Amino acid sequence: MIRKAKHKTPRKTKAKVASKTINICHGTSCIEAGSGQLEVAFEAALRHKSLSADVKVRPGRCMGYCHVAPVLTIEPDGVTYGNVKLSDVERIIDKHVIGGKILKDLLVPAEPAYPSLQPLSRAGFFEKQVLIVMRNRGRIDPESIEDYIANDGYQALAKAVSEMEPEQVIDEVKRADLRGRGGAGFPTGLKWEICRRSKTSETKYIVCNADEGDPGAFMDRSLLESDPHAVVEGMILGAYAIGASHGFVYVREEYPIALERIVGAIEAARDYGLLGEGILGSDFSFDISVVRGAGAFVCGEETALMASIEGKDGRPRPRPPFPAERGLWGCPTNINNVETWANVPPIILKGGEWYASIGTAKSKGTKVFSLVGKVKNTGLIEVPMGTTLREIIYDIGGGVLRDRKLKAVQTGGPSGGCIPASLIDLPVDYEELSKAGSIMGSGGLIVMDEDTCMVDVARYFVRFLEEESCGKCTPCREGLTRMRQILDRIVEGKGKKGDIELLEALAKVVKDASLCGLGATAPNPVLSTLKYFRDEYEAHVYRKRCPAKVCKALIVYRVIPEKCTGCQRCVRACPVGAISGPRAQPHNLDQSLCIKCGACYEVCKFDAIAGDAIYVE
Amino acid sequence: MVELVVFVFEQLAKRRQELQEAFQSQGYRVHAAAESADLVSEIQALRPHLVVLDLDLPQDRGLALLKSIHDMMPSLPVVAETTRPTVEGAVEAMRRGAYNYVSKHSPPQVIVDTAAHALEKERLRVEALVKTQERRVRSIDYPEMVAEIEYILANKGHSEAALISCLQDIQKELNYLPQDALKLVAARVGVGLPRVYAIATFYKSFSLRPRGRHLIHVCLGTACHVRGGAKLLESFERELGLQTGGTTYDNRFTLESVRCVGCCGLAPVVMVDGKFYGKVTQEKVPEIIQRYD
Repeated sequence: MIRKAKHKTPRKTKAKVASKTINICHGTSCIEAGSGQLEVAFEAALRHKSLSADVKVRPGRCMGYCHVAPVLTIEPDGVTYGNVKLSDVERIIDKHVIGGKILKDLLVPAEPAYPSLQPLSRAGFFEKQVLIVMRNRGRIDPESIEDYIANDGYQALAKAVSEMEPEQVIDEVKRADLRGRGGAGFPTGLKWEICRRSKTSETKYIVCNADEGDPGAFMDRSLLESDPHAVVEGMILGAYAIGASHGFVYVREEYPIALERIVGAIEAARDYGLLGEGILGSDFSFDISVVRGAGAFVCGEETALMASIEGKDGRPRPRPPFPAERGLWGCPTNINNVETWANVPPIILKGGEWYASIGTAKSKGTKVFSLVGKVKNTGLIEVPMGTTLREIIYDIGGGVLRDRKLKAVQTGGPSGGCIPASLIDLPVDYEELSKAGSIMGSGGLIVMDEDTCMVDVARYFVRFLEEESCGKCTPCREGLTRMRQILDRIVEGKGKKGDIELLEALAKVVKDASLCGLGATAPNPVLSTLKYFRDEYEAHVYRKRCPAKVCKALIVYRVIPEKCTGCQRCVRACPVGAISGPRAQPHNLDQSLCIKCGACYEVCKFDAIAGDAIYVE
Repeated sequence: MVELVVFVFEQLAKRRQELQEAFQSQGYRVHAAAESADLVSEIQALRPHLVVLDLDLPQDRGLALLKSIHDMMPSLPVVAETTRPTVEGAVEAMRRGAYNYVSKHSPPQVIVDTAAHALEKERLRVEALVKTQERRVRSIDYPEMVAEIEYILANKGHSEAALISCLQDIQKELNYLPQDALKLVAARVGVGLPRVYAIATFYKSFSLRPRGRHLIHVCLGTACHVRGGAKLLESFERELGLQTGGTTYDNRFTLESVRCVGCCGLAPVVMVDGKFYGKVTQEKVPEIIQRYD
C-alpha cells in the first residue's frame, strides 16, 4: 500500500525555474483561434509538472497581432510566440520555461534572421506604434478591475471628481483637440459643451456608440473586449463634464464577448462605488446600462441609434434638432464612439497639452486602425495622426501579401473611398483623407492588391448599402438600387456606352439628396474608384475585360501546361469534376463544365491555373 | 383594478400641493410638474389618463400648449384652469380641445369632481383593452411557449424600450419569432401588433421562419470580401444545395451571410453556431459541414 501511494505521488521537477508569467492574448481573433483552450492546457500542464506556484498563466489584453493568433507573451523575458497550437504547450514549458531556450519557429514576427531576444516594442510590427488607447495592451486581464486600477485606472476620474469642475474637464478635452473617432471627426469638447449648455431638459444622457458597423473595422470590438474599463471610465468622466445622469452602451449583437465584458466591467465598477449614487464620495451620481443592437448597419447613425435604444425600428430622422438639444426621449444626449471615450481618461490624467503634442496640425493624438485585407501582418495598430500609408503598410504591415503590387487602400468603410497606390505617401489624418476623396471613418484600412477588381469592390459596397438602407428617403432607397443594377451590368460584361456617366450622375444625386449620413456618403466608394480607376471601368464596359481577373463573366480559367506538375490537387478540389488528367501529367480543364468558382486557382501551389480575361473585339 | 395617472401642471406651489393631495385621496396616481421646457414630450412619455393644465403662462403660451397637447394626443382629456376665468377664455380653451375649463379659485375637490367623469370613461376604456388583450392571449395554444415568453417579458419589465431585447431573448429560446409570439408581446407591452412586426422585420437578426438546427454565417465584411468571402459563400450554397437565407430540407442547416463579425485578422471567416473558423478556403467547406449533424 505504501509503495503504491509513493508511486502515485507526482515526481517533482528537479529544475529550478525563475518565476514567469505567461500572458495569453484574449483579443477577438485569439479567442476565436482558441486562446481559451490554450490557457486551460497551460494550467493543466504546469500543474502536472508542479510548476503552478512559479509560473502564472493569465489572460491578457489584445496585442493587436491578429495575423498570428493565438498569441502569447512570456514575461519577464518579453518573448512573443504566435500561431501557438495545443501541441506546442508541452514544448514551450519544457524548452522555454524550464530550459530557458527560445523556440525560434514560434517567434513573431517569424523572420528567418530574427535576432535573439528583443523587447516587444522593437519588433517590426510594434516599432512605429504609439499607444494611448491601447496602452494596456498585453498587460491587463480584461475581466479584472483590480488590474485596471493597478495600471493608473480610474485615476483620471478621481482627479476630475476631487480637483476639477465639470467645465475644467471640458476645457481639458478642448485643449487636447480630441475629435470624434467614429467617422466625421467632430470636436469632442465642443460637442460636450453644447450638450452641457442645453436647456431643453434637466435630464441628460450620454451614449457610447459601439454599433461598429463598418465592415473591416474591429477596434471597438477589441477595445470593449480587452479594456472595457477604459470605456467605462471615459463615459463617467463625460457624464461628469456634461451633467448626465444615465449612460447607454449600444453594442452590436454580433459581438457576444464584447457584450459580456462590458456588462461585467459595469458591474465591477458599481461594486467599487465608481458608478451609482455619490461616486467616490462626491454628490455626482451616474449609471450605465447596456443595450444590444439587432443587426442593422444604419443604427450606427446617431438618430437611428437613439430610436433603437427607445425600442423602435432604427430609422434616422432629419437634424436639427441635434441630439445635443433633443436626443433620447427628447432630452439632450451626447453620443461618442467607443474609441473616443477610451481617449478621455489619459487626456484628463496627463493633460490636454500632452495629447495635442502628438499628431498633425488639425488632427491630434493617435488613431487605432484595423489593418486588414491583402497585407502580411493583419491586426490592430495604433499610430500618431499623420503617419503615412507607406509606413503603415510596409513598416508595420510588412508589405502586401505574397509580395504582390499594391493597388489601393480602402478607408472609412462603406462611407469611405479607395486611395490609389500613387498616393501612398499620404499622411493619414482627417483633412488629408477627405482631400483624397475618402474619410477617416472608424479606422478600417483594407489593403487591396492587383488581384482586387475595383469595380467589384464598388459593387460590393453599393450592394451592402442597398441592403442596409432603411428605405425612408427615396434618393438612397431607389438611387442605390439603380446604381447597383448598373454595376451588376458592368461586372457581368453587359455594360453599355454611357453607363459610366450615368452611374456618376446618379451617385452625385444620391450624395446631395439623401436624408442621413448613410445615403450622403454611400456613393463615395463609387465616386472615388471612378476618380482613380476609371480605366478599369472602361475596360469592363468597352473591352469586356476584368484586368484583375475577378469578375466571373469576363474570365475563363485554364491550366498552364508548362507549370502544371500533375499533382491532382485541383482535380480533387473541383466541385463539378471539370478537371481531369492522370497523375504527373498536365491536367485538362473542360470549359463547358467549369462554373468559375476559383477553387482550383485557390489550391494550386504552382501557379499553374490562370484566370484569363476573355478578349472580345 | 387599473391605476389611473393624472398629470398636474401648475405653477403655484400651494395649489399644486392641494391638487395633488385631492387626486391622491381618490386613489389616482399623480405626477406633478411646476415647469418644463418640453411638457408635450414629457406627457407623451408618461402617458397619463388626464391632464390638469395651468393656462396662466405669459403671452398666450398656455393656450398654445393646450393645442399642441391636443394635436399630439387627441383623446387625452385636459382640464384647463386659470386665475382669471372669462367667457371668451372658456370658449377659446374649449375650441382648442380642453375637456373642461375651471377657475383656480374653486376648491380642489371641484376639479377632482369635474375630472371624475372623464377618468371613469378612461378606466372603462383601459379595462376593455386589457380584456381584449387577455382574450387574444388565451387564443394562443402553445402553453409552454406562452410561459416562456411571459417569463422573458416579466424579466424585462413590460416597457416599450425593452421591446427589441425581449424579441431577441424570445428568438434565442424559440430559434425564430412565431406569429403568436409577436401577438403576445404586443398585448403584454401594450402596443399594436404592427409596431412589433415593424421591429421584427426591420432588424436583420430576427427571423419569422424557423431556422435549421445549425446556423452558418459566412462573413462578407470588406476584409473577407477581398480575401474571397463571396466565393466561399457560393461554395457553401453549392455544398448545401441552397440559396443564402435558406434552410436545408432536413432542417440541419440555415445559411446566412453576415456583414462583418469583427474578426478581420483571420479573414475570410465563417461562423457556425457561434464558433469561428478563420482563414477558410473552399477546400475546407465540406469538412466544416461534416462536423455538424
